Amino acid sequence: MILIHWLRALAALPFLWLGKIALMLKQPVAGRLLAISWHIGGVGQTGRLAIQALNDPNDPFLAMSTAQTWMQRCPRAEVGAIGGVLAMQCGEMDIAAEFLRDSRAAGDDPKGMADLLEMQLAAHTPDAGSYRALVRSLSERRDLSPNVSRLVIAELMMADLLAGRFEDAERRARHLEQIEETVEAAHVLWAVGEHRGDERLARHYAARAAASADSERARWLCSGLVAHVALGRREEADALHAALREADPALAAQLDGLLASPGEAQG
Amino acid sequence: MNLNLALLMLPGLAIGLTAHEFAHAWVASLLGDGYPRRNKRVTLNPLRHMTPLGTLMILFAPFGWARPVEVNLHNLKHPKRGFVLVSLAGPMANVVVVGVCWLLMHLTQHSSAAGPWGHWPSNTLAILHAVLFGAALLNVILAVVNLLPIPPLDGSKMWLVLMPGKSITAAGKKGAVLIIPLIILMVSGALRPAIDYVTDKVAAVMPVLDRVRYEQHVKLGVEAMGAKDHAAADAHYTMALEMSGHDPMLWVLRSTARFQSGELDASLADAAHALEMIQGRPFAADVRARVERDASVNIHNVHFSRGMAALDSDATLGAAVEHFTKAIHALPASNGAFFMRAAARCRQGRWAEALPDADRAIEIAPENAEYYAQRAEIHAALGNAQRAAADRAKARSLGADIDTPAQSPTAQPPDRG
Repeated sequence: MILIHWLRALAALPFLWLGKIALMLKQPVAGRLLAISWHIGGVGQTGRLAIQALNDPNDPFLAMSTAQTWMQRCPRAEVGAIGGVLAMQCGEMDIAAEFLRDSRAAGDDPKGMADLLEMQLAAHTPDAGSYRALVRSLSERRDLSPNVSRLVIAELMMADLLAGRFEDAERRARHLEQIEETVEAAHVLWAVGEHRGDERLARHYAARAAASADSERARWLCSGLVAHVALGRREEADALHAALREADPALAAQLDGLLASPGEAQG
Repeated sequence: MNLNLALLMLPGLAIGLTAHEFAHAWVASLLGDGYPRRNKRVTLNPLRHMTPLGTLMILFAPFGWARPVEVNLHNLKHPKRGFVLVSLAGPMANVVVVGVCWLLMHLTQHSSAAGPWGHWPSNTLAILHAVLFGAALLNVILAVVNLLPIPPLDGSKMWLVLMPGKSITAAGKKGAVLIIPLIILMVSGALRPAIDYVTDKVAAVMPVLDRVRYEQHVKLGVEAMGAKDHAAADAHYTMALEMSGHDPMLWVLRSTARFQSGELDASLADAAHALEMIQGRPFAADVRARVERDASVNIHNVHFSRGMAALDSDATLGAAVEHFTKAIHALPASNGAFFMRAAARCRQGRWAEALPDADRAIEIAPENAEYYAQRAEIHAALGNAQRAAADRAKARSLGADIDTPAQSPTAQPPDRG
């Protein structure tokens, strides 16, 4: 059994490598090569990459259908998760929820793709409470993948800031900073510096945050907005809110829910 | 790589890579990260850690690799410290594997005593020792290479401690450029001397199976004999015999080495012991024949040497005759011993007793001019002028200068070898 699995994995490798190179070079053939690799090896991560490469951003429906077909033939958590994301892009929330169920049922999900899909689905529900509850329950788990943990921590930091729990927000930000430098942590530490009157701290992290203003525009706007709201700087917050609505309306709408009830304790 | 060698190395490498990755996952798990457990990496099942390509490379290239363990640093209370501990756990696990190999080899090194007829019984144990030895060396290499402070190797994680203020990800990105020097180091073989140094040191302290040590000493003894270093050969044979004294041929070999070193008593004792060993024992015919032949040659040579030494003085001519008699007894076809015993008897004036020895020497080696000259002198002393003249004529025809004395008590002994 393992021998067959290994032989399939070995046979799929050349197509995976070629597909990744084509993807790097933005060649249309990337999707096909990755799809061949997926069909030979059946590796979920390759399937997800293939669907992403095959996806036409203007028409995600086709890629979503492909994901549905693939999930019926060879269910993998990663393929289900990307199918769910595409379903959300198509506005098909029920199908996305179905993908989530199938993704969970498919088993191994080393990258936590189903957790990410679940977070995205919860974030798009009108009830901000259910999203918070999900973040809270995820924050109690110790087996999350790093990218899910990062999102959860960012959410908790933002919630701490909005609730005026600057020390908690700082503790989370400093922990995160040991691992990676994120625009969210930079904004939190800037806000903490401003709040305490620590100019050196505020200046340092303002510069850090500004460095990400272009490369991570939506995240920069979002975390900047929360930081300004936490400091009670309404004018700057409104300006950022307007910019965020322009850059990422969905994220702006999601943030509106959070800003509407900032006091709930989390994590 | 040789396929047999690769197959011998495969268990060691599989154990090393599995232990290495398991240790990363286990330590991360101990520090509070449940992510490796979720990915089923906190296990000693090699199939969970090996990758198809990495395993294939083990068989066809001088290296291999396993699937790296992903750790969620967000779950660690102290991410930097935790990351260093998790990273060092891998090489430390390889050091533990080396220790376990050493212990197993140490516990079993004396367990395969030689059988009653000199045969080492356990091939399985010898193979197991070879596998353990290979595993130890491979794990040393894994530990040493992984401790190099070059990304993505585990040793590079130490930098994170030395770079305060930098996040793990940022430090990792900065260090990523060093992957190129690492590849150059690996491909060019520049790392080889350092790795060889460490593996040599470890190899020197690994316990060796008695059987292997025995074979090594025998081999070194034979090589020392070839290099005419007879004392060293004696020492190696002695060490081999201390481990197993059941091979009569080894006693013969030491007897030869000791004869060449001038230790005649010891040589005689070894040869006699070898002959005694084969009496009534079920050795193969060819082994028996070889032992009998070589031991007899050694006994002959010892007595011949002693006989020659005894010829130095008229007072010890009797002893010389006795030694040559023993040499003849050991090797009845020794023309040299007959010739020399005849010479000793001539000097004693026992011409009539010398004649049969001279006859026998000529019978064994009819083309030796000296033998005819000696017999001519004996015949002359016994008053057989006609026979003496005939022997002189024969000696001349074979190239002897008949004016020189026909025999000499200081004549050279035959080949001792």
